[in-house]
Amino acid sequence: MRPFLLAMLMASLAWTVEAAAGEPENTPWFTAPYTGEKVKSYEITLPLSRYEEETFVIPRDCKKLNSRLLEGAGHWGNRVQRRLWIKADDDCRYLNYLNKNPRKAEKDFVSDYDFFNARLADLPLRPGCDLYLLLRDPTACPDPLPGMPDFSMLMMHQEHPGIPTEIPGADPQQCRFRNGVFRGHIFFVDDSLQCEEDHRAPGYRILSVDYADVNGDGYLDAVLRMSLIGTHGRPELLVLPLTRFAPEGKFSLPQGADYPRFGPTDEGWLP
Amino acid sequence: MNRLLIYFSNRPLVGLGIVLALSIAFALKLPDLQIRVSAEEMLVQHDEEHRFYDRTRRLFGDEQVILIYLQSPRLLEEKKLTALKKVLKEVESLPFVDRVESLFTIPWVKTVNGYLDKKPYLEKLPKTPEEERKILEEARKNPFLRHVLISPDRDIMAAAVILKPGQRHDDKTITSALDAAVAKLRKFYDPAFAIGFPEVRSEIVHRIQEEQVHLFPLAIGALLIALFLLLRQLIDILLPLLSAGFSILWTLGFMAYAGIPLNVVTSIVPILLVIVGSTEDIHLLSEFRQGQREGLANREALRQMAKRMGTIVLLTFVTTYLGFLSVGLSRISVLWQFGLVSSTGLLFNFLATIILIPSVLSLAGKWQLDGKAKIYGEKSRHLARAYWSFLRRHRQGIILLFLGATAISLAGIPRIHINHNAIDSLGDDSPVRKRIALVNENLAGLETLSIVVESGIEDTFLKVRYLEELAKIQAFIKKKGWSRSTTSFADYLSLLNGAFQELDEPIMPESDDAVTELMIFLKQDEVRSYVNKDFSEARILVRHDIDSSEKLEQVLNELQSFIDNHLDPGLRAHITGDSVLTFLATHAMISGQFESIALLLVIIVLIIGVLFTEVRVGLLATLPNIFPVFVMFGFMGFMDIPLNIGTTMAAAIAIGIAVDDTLHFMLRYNRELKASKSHAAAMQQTIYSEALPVVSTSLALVAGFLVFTQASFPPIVQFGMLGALVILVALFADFIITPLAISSLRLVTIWDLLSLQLRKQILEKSLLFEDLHPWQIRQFILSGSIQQFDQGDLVFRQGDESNELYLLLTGKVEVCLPAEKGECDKLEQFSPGDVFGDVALFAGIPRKTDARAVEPSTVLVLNRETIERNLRHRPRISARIFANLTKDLSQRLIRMINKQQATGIRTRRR
Repeated sequence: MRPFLLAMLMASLAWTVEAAAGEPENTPWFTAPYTGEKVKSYEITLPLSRYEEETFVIPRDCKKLNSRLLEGAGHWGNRVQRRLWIKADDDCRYLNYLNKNPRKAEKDFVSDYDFFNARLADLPLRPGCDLYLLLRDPTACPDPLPGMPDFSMLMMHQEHPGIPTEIPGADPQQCRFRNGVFRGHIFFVDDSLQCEEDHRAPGYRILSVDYADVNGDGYLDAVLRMSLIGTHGRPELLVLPLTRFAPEGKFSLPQGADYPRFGPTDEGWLP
Repeated sequence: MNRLLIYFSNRPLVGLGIVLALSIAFALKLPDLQIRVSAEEMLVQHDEEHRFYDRTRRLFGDEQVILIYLQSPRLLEEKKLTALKKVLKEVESLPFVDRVESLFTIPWVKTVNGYLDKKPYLEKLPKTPEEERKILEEARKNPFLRHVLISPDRDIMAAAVILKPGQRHDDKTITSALDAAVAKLRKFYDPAFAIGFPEVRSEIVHRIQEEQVHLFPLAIGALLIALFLLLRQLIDILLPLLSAGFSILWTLGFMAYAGIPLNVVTSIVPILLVIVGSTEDIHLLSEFRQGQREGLANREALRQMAKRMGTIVLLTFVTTYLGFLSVGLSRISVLWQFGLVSSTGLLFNFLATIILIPSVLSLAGKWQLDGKAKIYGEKSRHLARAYWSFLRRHRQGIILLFLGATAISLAGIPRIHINHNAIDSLGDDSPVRKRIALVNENLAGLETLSIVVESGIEDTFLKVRYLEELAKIQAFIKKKGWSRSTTSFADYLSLLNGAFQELDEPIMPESDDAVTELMIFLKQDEVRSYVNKDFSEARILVRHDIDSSEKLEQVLNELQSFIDNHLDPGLRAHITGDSVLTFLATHAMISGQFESIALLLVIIVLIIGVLFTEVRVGLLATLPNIFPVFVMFGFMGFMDIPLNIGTTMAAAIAIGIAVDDTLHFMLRYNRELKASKSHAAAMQQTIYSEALPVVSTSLALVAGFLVFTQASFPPIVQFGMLGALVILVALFADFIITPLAISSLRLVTIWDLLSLQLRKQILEKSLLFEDLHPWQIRQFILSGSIQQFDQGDLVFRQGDESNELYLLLTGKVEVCLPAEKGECDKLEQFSPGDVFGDVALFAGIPRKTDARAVEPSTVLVLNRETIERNLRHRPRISARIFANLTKDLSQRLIRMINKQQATGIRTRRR
């Protein structure tokens, strides 16, 4: 009896160690379906046909999920189930996005930065568009890439009748995210970025920051996942990759690091 | 019936053996009798609405919960919550509990650092008053908690206990277990109690048991007093009690066999049997003692009782039985159970009476002494005569008085309001009612209704447009102030959306895509109370405290109208739920009431109509019985007594009982008229003879019904009050309206006065009635009269006005032409069965001859008016009669011609 118990104990221990080891350290956080909790992995059951279902553990089964999508399974189920296919696929794509360049970045000017309290002036408010241009002449800026935050919704333009000329005592340095949240309005007064925080106004919440060299240029990039909050908000995740090439200064979008959107892909998947 | 009574008086031991055998058979089943009060049984069963509600419950789950109500200045103080958590865990482990919903389990839907957090409000117990305040503040924003499990402005909260579905639970077990659990919280919360419909039903059951204990002796006491005053004979007092006792035992046994429980309504049957069942016993015993007083021996007195009362007792039983049975016409379960049980009980009582009374009286009746001879003295006879004389003198005034009373009563009828609410039946002093009042005052109430909205298309309620339709209905209800808590799938999505948008309050998603995004974070099970699996059907759950049926009717009508006019045409909405079924039951109750009364009156008209061969006699017999119903409804209107589960039975039952007196009165009058042949004398004798039994049984019934006023259930109290009122008014009506009404009719028909031999040998063989059935002959001669003539008497005289037709029944009559010196030239002689006097009548001229009785003769006289009336109302019979008359006349003419010819031949020969 005793050897049997010992064997069981050893087997359990081995399984626990193996399970712990199976969860890579750089696995990002996900939002679990149904509960909305912050998790490293989740289980999801999706329809493969009218009568079949399959359970996937994300991110472990991302490859299998992609295969099923290539087979056309993503069209099965009702509206919510189809959205769950998209969610699982999105999470897998995000993971793939972070890991698509296996080389370790040689230079890192991002990981020391506190993105959860990022100064607005440090961010390219509309990805791909210069902040000053955006604020002065938004029409000159290209549209934001799909799935990325559009900060122009926070802007109050010069011609806006309700714009304050100056906020007394306002410190441009104080226009920043606080604990991952910025809600309010931004505008320019005399070439100076100013903001008005308003907890009832729409804004953005930074949910997570992951680090990877997403474009393989040797510089480590920060990938922010954000969601729009306040009126008009929705729980959809927006992805904003950022990089910089010096310890100080503004962040920009890493070149050639477009974020892939939903749909089956034959790009290499992590094992 | 007469034979049965005589049979048991001849074989008393057989009768007693049957009683004993039945009693053993039913007593053995008694342990299976249940005391149960079910909300379902107060509703209309097996109808479309009920099926829809059952489907809704299967789809979305039950609406009703048991609330554990808690009040304390610091609701969320740690030590209180520690105790509460322990108690709720204990409650959750009870075998009948499915789950308990409280701040410990209801998710506080919020985001923490952008991630959804659905941990319950009390996942962690608050440590400081500030934390307590924060949790309460947040909980009060949640539409699924506000007014449902937490008061928005007072230190009151609740936990909802949801029972396991699809199982029938014992209310008493539930109530006791929850009470025991909640008692442990009383040192922390005051008040602290569990309240829900099991508590309501438990209290009703408890009261039923208590009332059986204290009302039953009262009913027996009332009966004993009535019996003592009326009969004053030990055995006569015991016999009604015995028959009532046996019938109650058999009835309870029958209920056990049939699986019908004792509930708030059927529980009054035993007492009713004591009260109502004794009336037949009293009539039979009175007749038996009357026979003894007339000097008859036991056996002969029993025979006379059987002969005189057998049919009457059977008829009065039938009408009372139908009165009780008619309550069973209702589609409400408790009412048809009552109709079935009470009518069966009455049948048992009738059986017990017709077996026990002759059996026991034949064995023990001789021991008794006459104790009430004084009542039937000359003074009483004089009083009856004076009373009848008074009635006749003031006939018009009395009719006007009754018409006035009827008009006043009718004016009160529109004021009647309806209430069919189980909670109301508890009365204002009930602790359960007080607890419900607290819930109604501080939370959203215990009553519920559901609005099921559906499109038939999947994913409908994943679209904002349709979610807004749900919100629109909810907003309308809120605006009208009908409910403090309406919840729907739209609310849940708004709550989730508000959490994701990090807003202070729930907000409806803006787009269909946003809804789909939100649905990722929602398991269908979490919202299965509000939306079905394919999102084609949604429920709005409305909690309310509307306890008046009329208010509920108004709310439902307005709500339905709003839905009809404002709901998206792609959607269909159906209002259902306990409240709706209760409301429909109210309608069923009212229609059942009118159906019962109408059916009963029709049956009374038919029975009495057949009995007296005149429908209008039946119609007149309903007058003294319909009048008390008008008075009763008027009284209800003016005295603010609602139509409810108790009062709805009163009219039909009371008519069923009251018509007995009318029947006794009319049948007695019939008998007396046969004997005296004088209406006035017959009426006086009827009043004289019936006054005592009818008044005393009525007073006994009134006393019996008044026993119910000692009950603690308002509907039963009102039932007793109205029952007593109807019997009392019917008593007056029977002694005022009935005599006046029937004195205008000829209740005793000529048919009754003719002997069977006369009918068979003369009438049916008369040429006048050739080819007519006996009933047609009867119809024709009903309004005729009989006249007796001695030998030599003139039936009519030459020159008299010709108004009558004569049918000779016995004796001989000759028709002759008056000659000089008082002589008469005989023209024709008539024998029994012959018709005479018709020629002058139909010629419309005065009599040309004399008609004289050659020997003592009996003549049936039919006057012109009677013949003409028959011509109008019975044309087929009249046609046959006239054909026969023509034939008769032709034959007489031929005889006359033959006679003339013979006379001519003789003359020529000379």
